[in-house]
Amino acid sequence: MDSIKLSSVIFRYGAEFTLDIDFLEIPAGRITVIAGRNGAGKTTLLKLLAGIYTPFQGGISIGAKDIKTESALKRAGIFSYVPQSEEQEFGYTVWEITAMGRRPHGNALGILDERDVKAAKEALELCDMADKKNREFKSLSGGEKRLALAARAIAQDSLVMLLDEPSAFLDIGHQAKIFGILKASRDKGKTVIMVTHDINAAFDIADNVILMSGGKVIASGNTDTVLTEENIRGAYGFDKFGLADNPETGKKSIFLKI
Amino acid sequence: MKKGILISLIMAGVLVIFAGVALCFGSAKISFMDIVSILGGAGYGTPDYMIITGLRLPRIILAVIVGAMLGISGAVLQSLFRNSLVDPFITGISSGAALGASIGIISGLTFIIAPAFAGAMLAVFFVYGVSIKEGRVNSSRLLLTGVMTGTMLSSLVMLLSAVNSRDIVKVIYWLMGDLSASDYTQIKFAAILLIAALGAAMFYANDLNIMSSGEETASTLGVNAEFLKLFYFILASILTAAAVSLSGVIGFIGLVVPHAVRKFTGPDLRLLLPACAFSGALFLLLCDTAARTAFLPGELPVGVITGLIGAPVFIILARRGK
Repeated sequence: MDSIKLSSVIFRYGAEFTLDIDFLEIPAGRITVIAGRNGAGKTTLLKLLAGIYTPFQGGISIGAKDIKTESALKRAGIFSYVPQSEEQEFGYTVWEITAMGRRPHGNALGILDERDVKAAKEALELCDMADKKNREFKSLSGGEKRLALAARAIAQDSLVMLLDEPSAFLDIGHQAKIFGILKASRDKGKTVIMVTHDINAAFDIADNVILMSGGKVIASGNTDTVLTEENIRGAYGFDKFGLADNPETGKKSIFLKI
Repeated sequence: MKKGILISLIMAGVLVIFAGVALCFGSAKISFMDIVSILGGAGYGTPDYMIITGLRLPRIILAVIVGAMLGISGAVLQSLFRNSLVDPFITGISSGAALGASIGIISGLTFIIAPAFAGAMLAVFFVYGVSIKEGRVNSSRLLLTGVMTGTMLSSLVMLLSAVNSRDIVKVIYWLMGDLSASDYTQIKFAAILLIAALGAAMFYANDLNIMSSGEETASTLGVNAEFLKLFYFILASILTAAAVSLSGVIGFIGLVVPHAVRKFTGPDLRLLLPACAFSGALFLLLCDTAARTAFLPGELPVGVITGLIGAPVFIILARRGK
């Protein structure tokens, strides 16, 4: 897959917020983190990629192909999306939710063939949810729900996986599990793009970072070159922090001076 | 899939048995063997033949059809709005039909189905039209507009009834639901509509399952959410409008049946829709049999029975759910 390119993209929420991106390239086969303070436009960018929002102007392309006008079905073959949370009114099981990820590959009637069943089973096993496949999704804990949603996205087997705050409100065990799943997906050649407030997670697993502020991209590129003290200060408008090398991983880590 | 077909066959069998039993009950005492021979074509022109083929049988078939329509419509709308408290009448459909029927009754029309159906569909298109903003329909706005339109139209029915007091009894009786005015021409059209609607509803049932994740997420799973909303809203509206214009406002079936059936089948609409069709049919058949036989030689409006049974059942199910 070629990299994803956004050019002259403008999107507005009423008069209050405008996302304005002149040019942005997101590399394929890498983990990219979108970071920035609340209201910077991170989730909006993710939803533009997912096709949930359509840009007012500008183009989103992969190679020479403009994907902005693709149908929902074709787009679902390119991008899978893991929302921050999902509420289910009815008692769909974890298996049923995971199998929904096969919609772009299957038929409208949703009859699963052997390949679909295999993909859904493998996704559940990867996410440690195979033993909970008959549980109702709505009865799961927050962490289990996030894993089930990740399983659905993995079963979808799209080229790009988009995740909105996949580790928020999770204990460290579940966080590590989610990050392990994302790394495994990257190692299989998938492109992973996630929004997170967790700068240490970005240092730990991101190959690439997009730093946003006020609806604009203020820096983008390799993690260590983007997440500098100066850029973080500029993006978050906050300076009571420091960066240090993590002796265990050799990667950088942020700490608060409060 | 196999499980679904098996359950459907069992339920169809149960429905046929109960329809046969219902045929034996009524103010005139006709033995089971006589009914079997009448159904075989014997006794043409006799009073018993007229009672069975001209009164009981069409009424039973209409109860089955209307019950199935309301069951399907309720299941579709509850899934579409992701809310198990939605009932087919919540979107202003029944009030539109009631207004159309009231105008028909007051104008002295004998054929009330046409104005009732027209009123229901006008209400539906008004609600849907008002709920569209920038090419998209917001489900909460649709629901709210539906409830408000229903209130407004109900007030108009009351206004019309108040200023035309000589027709008020007819209007009220129509509103309470009545299956007695059934004939085979109506039944034929209604049956074709029911089968076509169930087939169409089944075709996108899996996409409607996926809509349970919310419109945004469903679109990222490959579902055309805007098309699906329009498709199922219109489908459920046509079914409800047809049911109401054929039989008046028969409440609770569209709310209680999907709610109860889901506890047995699970929420998968590929199984839930046919199960709700059969269960809705069975429920209305039983209620109508009770309505026409409980206080012989008199009759109760069937809407009274469905409410009296449906409401307690719903309360019990809701308590168990907690």
